[in-house]
Amino acid sequence: MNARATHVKDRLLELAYGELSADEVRAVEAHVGECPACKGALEEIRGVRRVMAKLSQPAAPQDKLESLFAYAEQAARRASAGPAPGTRWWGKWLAPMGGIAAVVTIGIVAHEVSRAPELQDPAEQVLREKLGAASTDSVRPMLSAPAAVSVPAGEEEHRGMYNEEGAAERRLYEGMERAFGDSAGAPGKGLRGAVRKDEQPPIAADAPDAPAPKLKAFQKRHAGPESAPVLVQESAIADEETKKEMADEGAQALSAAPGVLPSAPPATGPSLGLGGRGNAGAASSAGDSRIAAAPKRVEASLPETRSPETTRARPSRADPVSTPSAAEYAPRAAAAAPPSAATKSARAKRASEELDEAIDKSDGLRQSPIDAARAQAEALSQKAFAAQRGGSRELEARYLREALATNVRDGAIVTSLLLRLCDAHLALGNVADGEAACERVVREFPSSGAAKVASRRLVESRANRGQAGPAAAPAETTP
Amino acid sequence: MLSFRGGNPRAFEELVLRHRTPVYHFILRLSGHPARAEDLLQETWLKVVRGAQNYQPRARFTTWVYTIARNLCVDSARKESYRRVESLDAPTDAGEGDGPTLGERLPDGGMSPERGAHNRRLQPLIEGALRSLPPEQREVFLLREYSGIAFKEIAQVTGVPENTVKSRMRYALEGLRRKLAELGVDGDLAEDGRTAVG
Repeated sequence: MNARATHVKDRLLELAYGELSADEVRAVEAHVGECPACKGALEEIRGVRRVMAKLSQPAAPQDKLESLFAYAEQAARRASAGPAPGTRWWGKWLAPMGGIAAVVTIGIVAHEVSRAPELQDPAEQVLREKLGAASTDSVRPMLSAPAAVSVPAGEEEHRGMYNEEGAAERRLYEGMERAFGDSAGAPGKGLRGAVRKDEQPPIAADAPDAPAPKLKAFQKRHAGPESAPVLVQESAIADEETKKEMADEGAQALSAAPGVLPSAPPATGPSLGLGGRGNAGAASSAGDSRIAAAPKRVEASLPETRSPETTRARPSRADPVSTPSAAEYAPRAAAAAPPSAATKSARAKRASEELDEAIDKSDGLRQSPIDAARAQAEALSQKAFAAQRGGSRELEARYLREALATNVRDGAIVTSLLLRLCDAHLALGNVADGEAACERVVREFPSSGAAKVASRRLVESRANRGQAGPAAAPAETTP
Repeated sequence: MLSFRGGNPRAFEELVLRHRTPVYHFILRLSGHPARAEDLLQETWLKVVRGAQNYQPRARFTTWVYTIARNLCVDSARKESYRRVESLDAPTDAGEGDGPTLGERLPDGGMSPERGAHNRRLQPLIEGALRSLPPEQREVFLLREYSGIAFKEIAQVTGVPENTVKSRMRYALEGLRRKLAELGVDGDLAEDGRTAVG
């Protein structure tokens, strides 16, 4: 009943507001004519509507019409111009890539700033001055500006040899050089990189017997797989003992500083330059790695502040002698006339004398025969490098033989010395001695990477002699 | 509206001129505040412009416009719910109680002086009766009586079923009849028997 009544009232409402079709209007009006209640209800609706129709309808304000139309016109113009171009596929990557590029740029700048001369170890500066007079030509290129360093003839030959024998061999050499602690001459590494590590806190002067943190870091780096050369990893000798010896090498290197640089400030700490990767750095490298490595033992007796001599001796940033620019080296190397044999020998001799002095003064601080042999071999290796740079392959071969005669037991060092000895002899035309050195590598370290290199040397040497022999067999049998 | 969406600004102007006053009236009577109604009206048309690209002709344009206006009024009423609402019957002269009411000061549609005088007496009563309705009944009555929106479309605007709209309309008409009777106004006051719409 209620539903029917509601339906009827709704129909009356629709009739009053004209929402019924003609047929419905007729039907409802017919009902209204017969139903007084519906007729009264319809009259009430119409009466209210008549009264409410008197309500005035104020006109809308006009003051905002102009701005509204202007806004609409602008929107219509945009609409007629078509949709805004969507973000291109590279647009989504633009912002993140830009951010990454910015971070990389900042990192590079920070890296370069940290390598600024004023942030370098004073010991390096002192060494520059100390060695500058005696062996400027041979040392300076190794100290800085690695990208533009002029490579001596021997070094160039050495590098060319790398290129010929591929990346594996290059890694091998680099590993061997790391084992020897050759710290200078490699881009991004070497003495500068080593000195930068000296920003670490200084070693406590009141604890001379405690292990220096930098020494620990050095041992860790040399014992770790990252710095272990390929040869050491592959060699049967590259075991824990080898790592221990390498760590001892660091200790010996740290102990060598006072003889050369008595005024080295304790705050600089050890250089840890033995982690360098470059092939260069003969005399200066050895000197740097030792001199920059201020040992904790010596630091305990040194004053905390720099001595006046050191402070005065520290070159200014713009000092062209102590910190020559990279551009300065290139023209010098290009313009330099090929040195005579006597000049080469003299240079090599001067560099060797500097090293001798450094080594002699550090001998007293060595600890064990194994360490002593290793340190001696290392020093002789550096001297051989210096001789090679000086162009004296004979002197290089002599130093290498002496280094091998120290009974050093580190396989990486031995194989490196033998390979270099092989190269030196072959360069001198002493084919028999060179092949003997290489054969010794193949014989004593058959499964090492050095054996592969030595095998190639033998093959090349014998091919040059027209005697291609079966010496490549070890390379094929090596795993 | 489709023409405006296609980039014809004249089409929008025509829409505004056609619907502006009914929409403003609806907003004014629903909100009860002339200044706020003006702002809401402007905001309504701005929303129309902004939403033109997404407009789908599934319903009449008036339905869409009144939906926008009604939602803006509801939001505004929520925001202003804690404020004192200025009454159309309240005297506008501060301190004195005899000044003209706001409803009396609203612009008139332009009538003859006699009819204007009659309506000036009638307006406050009608507005009072309208204002006495609950908002949900008032909006339905305003939409149907003054804007000419069909019940079915009012259901779309308000978001309630059509039967509910008709029910609210019946209650609104009954409430107005009672209120007008209380105020001494009945259908006989209407001079020509015309209604607002149709």
